[in-house]
Amino acid sequence: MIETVINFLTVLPVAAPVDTALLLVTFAYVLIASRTLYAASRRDADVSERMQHWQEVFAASARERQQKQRPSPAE
Amino acid sequence: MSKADFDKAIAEIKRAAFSRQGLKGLRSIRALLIDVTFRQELEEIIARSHNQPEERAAIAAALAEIKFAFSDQRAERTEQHSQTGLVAIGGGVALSASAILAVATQILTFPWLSIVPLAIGSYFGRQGTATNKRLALEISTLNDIVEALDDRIRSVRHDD
Repeated sequence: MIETVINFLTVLPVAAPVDTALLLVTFAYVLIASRTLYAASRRDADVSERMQHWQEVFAASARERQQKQRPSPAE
Repeated sequence: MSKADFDKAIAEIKRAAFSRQGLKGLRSIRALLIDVTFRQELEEIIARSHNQPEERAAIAAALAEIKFAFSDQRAERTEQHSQTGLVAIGGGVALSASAILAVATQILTFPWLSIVPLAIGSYFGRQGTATNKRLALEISTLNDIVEALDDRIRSVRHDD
């Protein structure tokens, strides 16, 4: 199997130069495009849960402040 | 809320600003920064530190540092957006077109080989389009974050 592939790859550039060029261009494109897409998709650990936590903390603090500012019925 | 808790929140936002966040993470940061309770808390902290200009300056500096980190991220993603458009989409279309052209002009010894560049060109073109769409949304969210931080920094400095 490996021998057949090696034979094919050895014969291909001589027998079919245009096909070989097209395959080489495709290979180079795969390397460049996958690198570009990987760089654009790389992400670190998600912080949405932590941000939501702080939003809740701020909301609770705002509620507490409002309650303090509201005059009591005795006043 | 104590100043220490507020500082903890700012420190966490700062850590997030220096990491690469996805759309979900960026949207949650934006939601926190534009939230009215965040603004109220900031105003409360500023009011409490009325006689401590160095404390207000430290808050403004921390917010500015976060803003610059997000500005850098925006610049990086804008560059990636154009790179993806050029390499993944443009290259994919060009590769697929060259495979079709090669078959049409009967220049290939093994015409079936054209399936390889055609399939790869189409796949990366499609992936590039999806990535570009996501990057555009992230850039837009980063714009909102930088704008919100600008507003907050202005409100801190306004009290000086």
